[in-house]
Amino acid sequence: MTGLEHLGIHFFLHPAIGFIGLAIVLAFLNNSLYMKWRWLLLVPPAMAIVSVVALTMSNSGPRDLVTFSYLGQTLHLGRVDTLSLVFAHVFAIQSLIGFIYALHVPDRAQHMAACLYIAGAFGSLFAGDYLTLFIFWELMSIASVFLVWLRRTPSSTAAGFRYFLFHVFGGLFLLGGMLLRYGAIGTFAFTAVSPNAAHYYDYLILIGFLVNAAFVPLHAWLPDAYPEATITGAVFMSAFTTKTAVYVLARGFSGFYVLAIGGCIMCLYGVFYATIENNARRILSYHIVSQVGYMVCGIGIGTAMTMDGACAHAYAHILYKGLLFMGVGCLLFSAGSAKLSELGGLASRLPLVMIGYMVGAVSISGMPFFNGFVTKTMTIAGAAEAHHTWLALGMELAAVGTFLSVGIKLPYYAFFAKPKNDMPLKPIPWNMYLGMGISSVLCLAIGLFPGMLYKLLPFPTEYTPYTPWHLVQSSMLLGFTGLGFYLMRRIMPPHPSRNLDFDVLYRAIGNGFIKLVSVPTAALDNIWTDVYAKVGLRGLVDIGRGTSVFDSKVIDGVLDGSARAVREDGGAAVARTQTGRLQDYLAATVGLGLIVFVIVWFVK
Amino acid sequence: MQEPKLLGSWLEKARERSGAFKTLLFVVLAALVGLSLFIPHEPEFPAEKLPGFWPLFALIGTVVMIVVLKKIVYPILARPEEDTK
Repeated sequence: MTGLEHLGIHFFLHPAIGFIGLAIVLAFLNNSLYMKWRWLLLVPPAMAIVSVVALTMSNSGPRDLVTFSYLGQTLHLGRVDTLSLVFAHVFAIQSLIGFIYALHVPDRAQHMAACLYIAGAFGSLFAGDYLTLFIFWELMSIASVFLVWLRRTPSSTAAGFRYFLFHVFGGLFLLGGMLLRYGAIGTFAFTAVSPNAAHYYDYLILIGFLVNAAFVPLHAWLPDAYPEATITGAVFMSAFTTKTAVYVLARGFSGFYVLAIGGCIMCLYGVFYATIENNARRILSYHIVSQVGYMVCGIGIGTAMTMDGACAHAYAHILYKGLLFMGVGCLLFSAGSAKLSELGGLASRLPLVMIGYMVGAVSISGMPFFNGFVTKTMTIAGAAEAHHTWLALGMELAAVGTFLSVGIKLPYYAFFAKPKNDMPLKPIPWNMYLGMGISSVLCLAIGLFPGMLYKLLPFPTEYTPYTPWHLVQSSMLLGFTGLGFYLMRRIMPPHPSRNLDFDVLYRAIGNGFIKLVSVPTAALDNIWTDVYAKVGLRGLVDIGRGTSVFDSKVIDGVLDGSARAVREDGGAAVARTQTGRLQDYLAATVGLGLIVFVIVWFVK
Repeated sequence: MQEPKLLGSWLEKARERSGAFKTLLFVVLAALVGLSLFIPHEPEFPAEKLPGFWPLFALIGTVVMIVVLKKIVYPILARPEEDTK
């Protein structure tokens, strides 16, 4: 590839193509034959890895590899540089791990949703303009809703709607901001904004990005929806939505100090909620808020080291967070619950799951020799070096809380707290172990050989994670956190509960809006019913008598014939499409939208 | 897929000997504090110069976090669980 590019020939296989292609193919396959077609799931991730590795090795600097005209605009689908490549690299790897973990799932709809979701994430990464970004951003939002809905429980349906409405809200900020920006400066080009020169439309775009980054207080959709997603869907979702948001923030809004402060608040807020939470998947969800906080804080500080720290931490986070969701997903799959109050004493019965989970747990906690250590310390050291001492201390405290809740509390109450648990366990498929195994090896490999990751980073930085002081300081932080847990262990046991968060506010606003619309509408309807009953009904009855003769003699004859034809020639098929479920209509709308998109593309 | 039974029984035995792990933890913590006094480093802020700053930071941070969150914040925020598994 290097040679070809030197000759001026650019070959770029957009990773989204494989995923969209597979989603289309899956639409024509049958669930009952999944044992045969499931191997196809590994093809798009393999293609993505080949494409991204080839682009990384070609080392040709920033490039704009794919452009085409659409609706009078030039769409840039292939902006390739070191920033987009470091994210694309880990997206490709995680897509392969995620599909290996999901190989046993016989539901093609879940795989289609995952494919379109990943395609949206890759499309957003390589987007060079806001119009392209918006299209893929929304594809990602809509596809991920189905990863929640397809769990097919009443609570997942409700959480999916809340998730969808909140992402529509964020998408509207992005759309409004980019259109106003176009009106002001005449371009959709997605370029960095200087904090001193930001306009109101830039801040609208920033709010749109911050919704997806789960920036407190815009975060509550995440711990609300992720624990409701399918087991494999949560593994995918933990990787792509928030990290795509981190990428666009790094691309467009580095150096915005509000992000530095807000990121530090995210670090602590997520940890605090995780400490009192009972559902293991919700604990991990709050830790996404917390870990993304490190990245947002690094971007907000905006030095080369903190920017690299944010990118490196995003890379490491995708691997260990996926691993943690896989471990807890195995518990949910096997034991039927992810509630700590219902688990315990499973270490001896699920030792491999425990070991895989613990690799993720010590990685997220920043234990030396695991990937979190070589990335988290980079952001914190960068903050301290840039004289943001309080931010650095806030992030250190969040690291303490992370080890407390994910590294000690969760595994203690899931695997160790009680004597051997005799609850019935479902056997876990081999592919779920394999997914966890690959992630575990990568978490350890990057921790042992950080140069593998550092050479992918976009900014020139000198950082050495393995110094004697760093090793001792990190070990002391973790060890004394363990001692604190030991001393306080009697008040730590989790209890079944759902803790109030900002989603209560969203739900109140949503319910208030429904009342705002429904109460006046119902009042108007009552008035109209009275008027109709007193004035209009008598006249209508007289007219009705006349028309009923015409109806029974003429129209019935025609309609009976046509109704019979409809019933016999496809009425049942039409009836099947009218499920009455809003999720199905949304899926149909998206499909129709894509068809219109394609038609416009070809007509142009 | 079957989980390895030998590993499981080893973990069960290890769980029964939790006292030994506790002793090991205390020894390791003491060794780390001892080591930290002799390893030179450039403090990033004045408080870091104090010997034992980071062990105290982690220990006090953990204890305060647990007490405040579990005893004060949790009773205020806790509501009945929805039917998520």
